Amino acid sequence: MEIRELTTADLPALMEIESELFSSEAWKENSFRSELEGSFTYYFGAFDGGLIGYAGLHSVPASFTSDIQTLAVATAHQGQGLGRTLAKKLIAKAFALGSETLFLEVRVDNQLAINLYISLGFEQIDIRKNYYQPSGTDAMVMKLALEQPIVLGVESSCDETGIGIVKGNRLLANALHSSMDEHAKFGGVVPEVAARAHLEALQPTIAQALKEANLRMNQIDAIAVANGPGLAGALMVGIGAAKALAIAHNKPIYAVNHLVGHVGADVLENGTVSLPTIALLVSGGHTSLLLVRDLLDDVELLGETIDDAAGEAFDKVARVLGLPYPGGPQIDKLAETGNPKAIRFPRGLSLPKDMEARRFDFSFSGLKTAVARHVEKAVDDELELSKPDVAASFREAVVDVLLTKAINACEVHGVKRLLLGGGVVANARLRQVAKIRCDEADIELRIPRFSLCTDNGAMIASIGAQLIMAGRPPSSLGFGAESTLEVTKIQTL
Amino acid sequence: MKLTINTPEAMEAFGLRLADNLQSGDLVLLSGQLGAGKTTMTRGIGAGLEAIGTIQSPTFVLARTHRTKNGPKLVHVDAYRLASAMELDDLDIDFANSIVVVEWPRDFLGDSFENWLLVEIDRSSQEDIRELVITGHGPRWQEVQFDFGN
Amino acid sequence: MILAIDTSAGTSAAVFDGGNRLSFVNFDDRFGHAENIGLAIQGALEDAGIVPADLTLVAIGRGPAPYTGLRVGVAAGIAMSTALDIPACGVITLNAVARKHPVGKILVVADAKRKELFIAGFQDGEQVIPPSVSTHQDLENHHGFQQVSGECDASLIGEYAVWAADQKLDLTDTSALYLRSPDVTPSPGKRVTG
Repeated sequence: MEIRELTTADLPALMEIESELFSSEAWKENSFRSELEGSFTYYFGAFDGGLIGYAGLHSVPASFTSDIQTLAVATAHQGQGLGRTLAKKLIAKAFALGSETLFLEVRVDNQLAINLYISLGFEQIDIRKNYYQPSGTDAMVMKLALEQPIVLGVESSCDETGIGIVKGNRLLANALHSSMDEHAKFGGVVPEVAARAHLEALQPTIAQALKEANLRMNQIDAIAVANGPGLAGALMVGIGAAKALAIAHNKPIYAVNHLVGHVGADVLENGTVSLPTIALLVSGGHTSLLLVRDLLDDVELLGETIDDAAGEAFDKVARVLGLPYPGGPQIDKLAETGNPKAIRFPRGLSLPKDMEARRFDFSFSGLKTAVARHVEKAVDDELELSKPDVAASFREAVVDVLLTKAINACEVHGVKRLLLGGGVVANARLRQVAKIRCDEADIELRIPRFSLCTDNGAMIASIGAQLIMAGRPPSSLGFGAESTLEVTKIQTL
Repeated sequence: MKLTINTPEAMEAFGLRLADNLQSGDLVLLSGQLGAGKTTMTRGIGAGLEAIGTIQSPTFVLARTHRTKNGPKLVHVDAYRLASAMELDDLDIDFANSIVVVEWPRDFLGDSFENWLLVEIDRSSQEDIRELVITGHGPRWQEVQFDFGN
Repeated sequence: MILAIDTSAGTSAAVFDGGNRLSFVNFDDRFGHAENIGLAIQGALEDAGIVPADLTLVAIGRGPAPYTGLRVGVAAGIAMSTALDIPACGVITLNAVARKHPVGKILVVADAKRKELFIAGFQDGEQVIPPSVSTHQDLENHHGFQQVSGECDASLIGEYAVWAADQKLDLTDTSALYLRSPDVTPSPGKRVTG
């Protein structure tokens, strides 16, 4: 006997059992069809030779609830515990989806079913008169409370110490200590400064997160920590802290991928992340294009930078223009009065010859060199140099190549969703052009709130929660920091 | 020795050939302006060493450590923002058991190390053309003959 | 009940009940601090037969030491103390080693890399040369001192913490000690050994 998800191909078998069991109150085929094709509905069938039972769930992520739509076992196969198996399957699915409450209606005269549900923890909350037609039988409304895991996430992959707390897909706290100001003094992220700032910020940031969530440390169910990719020294600080937090209250620990965390951030925005999606992650340390079919099991790296990250390119060009760190905001300010079309800077890896091997990869090195040459030439030839024009044109080139490739990825893979993440999302021009191009291409654009886009602990906690909700085992205590962790490795065991 | 490199592909190929000459404990310094091709060359070195993970600019993270299929780790460093030798120390790089490639080498490195291979890249001429000057310092590089073909 | 943590050389953790050492777990590897820290702490607790809730103090090795590894222990110590809501104290490794040599003129010497050394000098237990960085040559200026290896571990850290608590010394500073930074010099006025 096996249980698998139902498709419209299973409709005939479904209808046979449905009419046999429910006769005049059976659902019509069209109703089942739209259920099977709908989003947020999940149907499972039990097969032994043919279909012998089925159950369906509908979830409402925004309210953290799910409803059991139907549960049926063919007469010939009743009394063998199949109903219980299917019900438990639905409960597990609702839990994995982040539901905190599972509702159902059942005929008041269906004592067998009512007993089953009570034995699984459901309780009656209401009676709906004349619910089932045409018999006019009343329905008993029942609910099951699902205790979602409370996870504390630790993020220290770069220059921010983030401690976040989630309960399932619900954001409870997001505390961040940024050492950004100290780095401005040093012209960029210096690991020593980054890690030292992490240490000092550790206790107050943990305390702040717990306060925001109104929780005590011993109420946390599990710890999640980003073990890569990023600055090794900084990651190690987070790992040391996370392991101690886990041991202190004997809780499991989950070592997760920082980049996948950025996709997890979107789950906290809506209670779910619609999949599949293309994800464009752009920060000082990363520029990656991902195809996410399953957050825990199927994240594919479509392309990434082969030299500088986009944020890094901003910093380097800012350097060339004599602007201080960090480059992004500085370039933005200068670009305000500049003409983005003044200079056509190269869009890296966009030539026909690149479409084969490097279609979704990025390269900002050539762009950076072009800007440097442009500035040097102007200085050498004693020509007038419009820094605002250079800034605007450079920014335009970056935004152009990022979004062209991202939208192309959507088209090539037939995925009509684009998720943006990473600190460079702060760039208003990037957001503006993203919206325009996605509207034109009929692609759903998702940009979580800024505090969830930059490196943060809540997104790490979110991935940890997903793993627990899907019943995955925790990591062992022996994992280390991996500065070049691949995106396909979502959890390090 | 001196070499002229005509294309980014040739720069990568040079890195690939250079990798054949590298072993645990080696330090390679890549010097050149922004856009000279330091990371491109390192990509070639990474390919030659069968490094795992994409070679990317380490400016932001300062150092990226790559395991290799069968050999010592490749540590890719950007020293641009290191103010002193002690900050390099703080990265706690396992020099003895790794091959370390440093972009934007600084003068202070001379005090801390006995052996290194310096590759200076000049991009002042046309477009893609780069002029390379390769010098070995210390007993490690005394006897080494390079064969880079074209 | 004290949990001592040190990542100044290898990675180690120890549990002390008053003056008695109940357990000591040590990983010699000079590079695997992030990998080993959890195993060291958990191992020390298990070997001592206690649970974290039994702890009343976390003693953290502050170095001086190679920074990247040192930070792991300090982070773990701070996190442990925060999670259990118990105090943490910081122990300078050189002082912890000196504790074992309470008589005579002792120069505790630890490798600071770059051909330099971390040193601290003591006379009959009293600090006479504060923790600082020195060259091999400058060592010769300290006449009459017996040189002692400054290599430290959680056992030494724990012993020192026990003794320091008795002496009512102020060890509330748990920050990682980085002697080469201009703004970090331990105050010479504090009595650190007895």
